[in-house]
Amino acid sequence: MTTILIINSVEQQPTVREVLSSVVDAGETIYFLRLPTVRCLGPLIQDINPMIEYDVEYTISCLPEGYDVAELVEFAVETDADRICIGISERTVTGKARIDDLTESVLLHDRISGDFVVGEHAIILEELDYAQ
Amino acid sequence: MSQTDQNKTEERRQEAKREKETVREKRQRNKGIGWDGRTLREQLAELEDKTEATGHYSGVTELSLKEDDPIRFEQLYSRLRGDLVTAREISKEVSATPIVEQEGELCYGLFTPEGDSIAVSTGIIVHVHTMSEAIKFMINHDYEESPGIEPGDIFVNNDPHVGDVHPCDLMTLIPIFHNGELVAWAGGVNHVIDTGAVGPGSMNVSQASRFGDGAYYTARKIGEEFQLYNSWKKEYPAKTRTPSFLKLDERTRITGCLMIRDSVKEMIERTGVETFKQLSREAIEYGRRGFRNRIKKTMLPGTYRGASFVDALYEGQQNVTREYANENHLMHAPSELHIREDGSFQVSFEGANKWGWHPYNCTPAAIQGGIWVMLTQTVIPNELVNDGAYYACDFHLPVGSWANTQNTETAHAYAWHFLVSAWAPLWQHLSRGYYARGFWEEINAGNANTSNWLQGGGIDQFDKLHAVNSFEAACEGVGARYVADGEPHASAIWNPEGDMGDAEAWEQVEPLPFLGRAIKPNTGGAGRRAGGAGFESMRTIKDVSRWLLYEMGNGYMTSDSGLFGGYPAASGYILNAQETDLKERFENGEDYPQHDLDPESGEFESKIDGDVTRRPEGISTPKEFDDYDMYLNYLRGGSGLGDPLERDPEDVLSDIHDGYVLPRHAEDAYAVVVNKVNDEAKHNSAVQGEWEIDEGATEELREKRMDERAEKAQPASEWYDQQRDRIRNEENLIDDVKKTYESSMRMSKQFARFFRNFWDLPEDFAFDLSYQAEQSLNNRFDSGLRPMWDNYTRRHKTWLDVDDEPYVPYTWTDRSLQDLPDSVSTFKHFEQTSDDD
Repeated sequence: MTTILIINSVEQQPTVREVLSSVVDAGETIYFLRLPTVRCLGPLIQDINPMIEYDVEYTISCLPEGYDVAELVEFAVETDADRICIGISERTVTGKARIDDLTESVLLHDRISGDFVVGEHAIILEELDYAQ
Repeated sequence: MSQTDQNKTEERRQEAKREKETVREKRQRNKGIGWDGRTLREQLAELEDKTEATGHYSGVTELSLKEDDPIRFEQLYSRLRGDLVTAREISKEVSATPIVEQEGELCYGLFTPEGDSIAVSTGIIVHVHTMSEAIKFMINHDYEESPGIEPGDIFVNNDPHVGDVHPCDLMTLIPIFHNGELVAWAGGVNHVIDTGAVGPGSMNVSQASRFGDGAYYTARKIGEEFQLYNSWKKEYPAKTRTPSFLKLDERTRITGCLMIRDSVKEMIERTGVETFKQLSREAIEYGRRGFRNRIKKTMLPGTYRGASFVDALYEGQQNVTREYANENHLMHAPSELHIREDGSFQVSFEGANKWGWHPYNCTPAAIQGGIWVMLTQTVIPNELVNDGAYYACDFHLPVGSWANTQNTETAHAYAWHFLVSAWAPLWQHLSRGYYARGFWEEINAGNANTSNWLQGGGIDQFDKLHAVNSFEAACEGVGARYVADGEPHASAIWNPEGDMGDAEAWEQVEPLPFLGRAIKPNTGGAGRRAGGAGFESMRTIKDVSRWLLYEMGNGYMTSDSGLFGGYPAASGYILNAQETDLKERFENGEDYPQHDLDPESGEFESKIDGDVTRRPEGISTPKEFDDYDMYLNYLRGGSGLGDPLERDPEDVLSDIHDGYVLPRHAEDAYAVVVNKVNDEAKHNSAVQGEWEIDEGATEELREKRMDERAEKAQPASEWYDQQRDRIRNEENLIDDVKKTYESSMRMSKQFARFFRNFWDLPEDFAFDLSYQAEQSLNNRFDSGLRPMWDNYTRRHKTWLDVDDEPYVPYTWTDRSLQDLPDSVSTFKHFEQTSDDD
């Protein structure tokens, strides 16, 4: 199975750890997708060591400044992703995960559908289907 | 510059500008300069993750380029390597110092974007790995962000806490780009003549701390678009006594780096960038496998143990920069080499004693580079020489020891003194393995302690401020081999291509005319196979003012023991003469000393009047010399192998005629009796006279010597009991020795336990130290300085995996590496397993 893990901050170690330990299985493939808000995932990868610690294959890609959500969906289609994971960057005053603009755009995109799961640190869109 | 060269320079700059625009466009799109849009740090992180997870460099399990077309692979790699060698051979002619031009103290490497060496030139190949560390430092400290890494950039480094052995090895690094992607680095390093330290020369010895080592340049960007910044051009010459030499050295390095860049660009144009990338990955993985396979083939699995020591005596020395540094130091380097069945190679210096107020401290880059250069020559001379070997080895360097100081104050100007001495047992560990497996041709007793270092400076014969650093030390005797004697005055461990250089070349840059140069007898260790002899140069001083000179090397202690019963190489001594009557002797045509071939004969003193200093030490601090003073530069020999009583007497006779052994020492060491039969005969050496073997007397003396041995011999258990009592009662143990062992025990609980158990000492045994020694240890153990090494790559972790390893005051462990089941286990896993059970 293939998972896209969107990184929008260098502080997202908890998100990454949650996805790698509870969502994906060993031997699966991860695409770390770096948003323009993050210049480099190097420190995060050095901290987590996905292959050593979780036995996953992975690559690192990026989206440019001013990207459109269609580019993210296109990337998901190209990689035939089964899941998209996004970190929870904000919570409501009652502690509930706030759906940010990016997550909302993906959820509402008409080319993609799937199941919606909210974890401790990550929002997971799984069982993805892509419309032609 | 010719029109062709000007055109080429301009073309290169224009190309850099165009490539820079591509890089900046990519940056606008949030892409890094790494492959496929990654940043360099992402690329490094992923590479390390993959390498460790798979056990193969960058996860390369199949060498498809090599397997599909092995000839082409070899051709491509050889082309790269050949171009590196060519770059060195040509660029060294740019330099003005004999250090580079004569002795060849220069090296180049081609590195992956992540900083792993793909191929290296000849020369001081220790720097294969130090430049790697410097590149990784820049990556880990986000130089891609600031100051930026772009086409045409030029970087410099000489900081051992980043990636170097010591500050006199200046390195130039340039990134090589293709279509906006960083595809490689070219790096060049050379030993400069003066670092602007508190004393003149490249490796001053009188400083107590880093702040007297000279100018440090910590991984800095010094140019763009292949042009040095004006600020750099003004800055660094002001920090050295020899600005013109350093400028030319820099041009040397840049010349070589640009030649390597051209070679890579040409290969990419011919074969495509993907082939180049694949070649670079596979070459390192192939190098790693080559190392592992050699170890599996030539060594027995198990633990090899040894120890070495070397002296650095400062008590009573003049001109030491701090009073608290006026003490004697003995380096203690217990070493363990663990070889496992899979060929993994793990070296531990657990038990090494504390860093000191001297310039011989080392950093991880220094140790790893130094051991690497030794391994290159012993383990993989026929395999690919690159960082693959680095990935095949593990090192444990106790934090806070002289091997890994982690200290903002420690001086490192001549780390080699401890480094070279520390790995002496490693040669012998390997040799023992080779012997057990039958690879006798590979056996080597060790290497010479690379010294003496003739250094100094002042106002020279051209009335200029100048510094000198003779590199005759590149030409020491090599340790004996199992199948042959060691090569006399041949090379240095850090540069197997070393040369003593032409006397005339040295005299052009040193106001120190040669009075004589000769093989020095009794410097190679005696043995069935003799260690290679060292040599000596007798120098005088002329047309100087305010001229300082000093010595640096081993003195009381020899760090290189013999092997299989061979004798160690001779240790060093100091010989100077000041306020001499040499001028009068020249004018009157009288005899004067040209050598000191027999230090005990009195011959030197009989031929000169003056203030003669003859001391059994190897280190002195800078003192003033004047015209017609004299200085002996004594370059050491290598250690011997096998029982000297088994050396063929005919070989001993040849040794006498070749100047390797004095006739009276032939009797002492080899029990060979010779008679002089001719006073006039000359040989191709400084020896005059002809000797013959008295075969009957020799046979008799050898029998007598064997009887004497039998008489003196005692059971090991008896000897052990005597030594144990000696240690318990602290009999005949000087304070410096006790301080050394006490330091090791305080550094390492494991070593302390080993030492006490071995000698059956009480659990609370500690040496009774003098007040000064106690103060000295407390001073260093209590200093709470912040750690220096902050280049945390995966390879730097200690496999002992001490979670909260304190940087000061102690590094300790209760566990032994031998308890781990395999090379990838750590004590964390071991404890978890135990808990699970």
